[in-house]
Amino acid sequence: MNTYIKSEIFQTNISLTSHVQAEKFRRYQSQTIKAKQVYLNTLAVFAANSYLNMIGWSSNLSGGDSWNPICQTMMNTADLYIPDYGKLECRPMLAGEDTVIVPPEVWSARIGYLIVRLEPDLKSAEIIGFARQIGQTKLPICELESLSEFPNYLSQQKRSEPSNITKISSWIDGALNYGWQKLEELFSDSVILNFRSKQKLTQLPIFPAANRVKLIKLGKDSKHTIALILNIQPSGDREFDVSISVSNYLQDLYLPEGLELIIVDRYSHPVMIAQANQTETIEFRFSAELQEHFTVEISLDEQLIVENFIV
Amino acid sequence: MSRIDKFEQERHQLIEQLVEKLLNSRYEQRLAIIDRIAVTILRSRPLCRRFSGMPLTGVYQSIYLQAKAKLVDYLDRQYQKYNSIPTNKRSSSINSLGLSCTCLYELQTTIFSEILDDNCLKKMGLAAQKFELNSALRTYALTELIRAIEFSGRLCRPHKSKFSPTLYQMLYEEAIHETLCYVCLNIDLYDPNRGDRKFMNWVNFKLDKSLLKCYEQYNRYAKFEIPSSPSLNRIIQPSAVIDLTELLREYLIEDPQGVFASTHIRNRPDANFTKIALAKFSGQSWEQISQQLDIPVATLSSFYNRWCRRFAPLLDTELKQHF
Repeated sequence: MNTYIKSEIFQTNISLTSHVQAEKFRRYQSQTIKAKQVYLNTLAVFAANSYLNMIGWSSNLSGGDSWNPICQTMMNTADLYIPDYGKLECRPMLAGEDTVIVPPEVWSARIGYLIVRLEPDLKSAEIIGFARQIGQTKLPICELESLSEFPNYLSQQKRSEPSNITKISSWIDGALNYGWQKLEELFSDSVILNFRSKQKLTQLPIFPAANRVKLIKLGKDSKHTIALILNIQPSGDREFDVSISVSNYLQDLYLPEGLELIIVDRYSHPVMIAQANQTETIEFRFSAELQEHFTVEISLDEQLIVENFIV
Repeated sequence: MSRIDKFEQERHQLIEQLVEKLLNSRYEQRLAIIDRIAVTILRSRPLCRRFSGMPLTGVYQSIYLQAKAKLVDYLDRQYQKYNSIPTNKRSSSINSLGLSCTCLYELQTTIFSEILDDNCLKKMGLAAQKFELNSALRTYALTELIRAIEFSGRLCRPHKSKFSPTLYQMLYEEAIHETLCYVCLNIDLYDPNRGDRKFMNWVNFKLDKSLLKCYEQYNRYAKFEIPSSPSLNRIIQPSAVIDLTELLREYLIEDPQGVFASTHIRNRPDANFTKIALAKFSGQSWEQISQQLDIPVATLSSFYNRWCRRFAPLLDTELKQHF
């Protein structure tokens, strides 16, 4: 039998299909070392995918960075996306080695690491264990956790809340969303006046504007409280002016140094980028159409907050 | 692995002791000892293992009890056979009951394969359905089911006469793999009232289709030669192929929208995305880049990782025309 599950190790043949795909990716690379890295990473992702399927987990094989030739070129990545759970990194190693290389670019944004040992003839592979987190490039295989513990670990990684999309045009009709408050509920009148005065020039009295604020904790021990403020105002039949700003919730304080505010458009392109450097407020304005999607990312060092919106 | 070997060894020593005890006991005492031998042998059973040390229930318990009864019966027959040999010709060792290390596993698989009829497999399939999707118990139930299907010997060998034995073996292995993955991912689709109420009809129907699909793929990629790991070190890329690294390098330097050079590590305008990416492309290690810029590896890599992810869709759109 070509597939063998013992709870400690999963052994499988590497299919012809995986080789063909690996070769397709490899051919984008001219440097032999990089080309081999891409080839083995692809095989590792396939083998891990087999293992997951064989224990009843569906995964999105082509949904990760490891399936994107651009990302393959920029990073040494072998990620596998499991819907509703997150990314698993599937690190390849060759039989006979006693450490596995886990490059720093995959130390974050992963729910775990599966280690895939490939036979030198690349005809079969074994999943030999897993790690929950990584903090070193060379991981000795004796430090791996047993694969028999993995299903239980994985089932606990489900994201507690699905990523919500907030519909901001409904704010004009008074809709409330969990986590978002009206400005006047949170700030004193003078502060609001200050915020509104910036908008005055574009404000047409016949169109009612709506705003909401969300407080976001950032930094070590959540020591910074950041106010993310969105303002939406109709400017035409299906057109809206949108303003997005971040400032420190405590008045007169600068934003934390290095805080980044990024607006990502519906094509996932970062269209507006700013970094705080002795800055009180970062504000972006743009116009958007009804139903248009955009994403706001706020990051500070390794922390990343993502908010999805639809107009 | 050595820990597991040690368990194996200890278990075997225990069986040896029990056999010796059995051979030196009175006839009436035999069943109690045989029972203990059976339980000890089954500790390494290939199927119906405990889940997290919990006692077996339902179909798993029922299979286990049947296996134990069969094993007791087998051991008793072996014992009777041994007893019928004249005393002076007996050898008093574990092998006298046919229980050498190697045949213990074989003995168990034979016993399990006799028990695993379609009804049994169906019950295991239905048991798996009852556990929540993506739970550790579902995983357990599916792993047991897959092993049971393999031990049962009830997987068909479709289209065998159409291919040479070597080719068939290869196609068959891949088709089995695909079929078992299908079973695990789609166990909730299994309907016990369809397929003549036979569980294996559901599995074998898929196996038949998978085999033909594997053959189709084999034909499509017939010329593909699987490289070995050492041979990947030697392959020199044909020059006609697009070199993505070079393409990216040029685009990052050109930076038509001015985004790459203006994205930098905080307070370090010199440590911008372009610089770090180009250093990576030229094959430098994170440690080397870290030393040059005097920025810790973790800071560098998390910045780079984050921005790679953000820039990837943009780069995809811009460079797609080239590949």
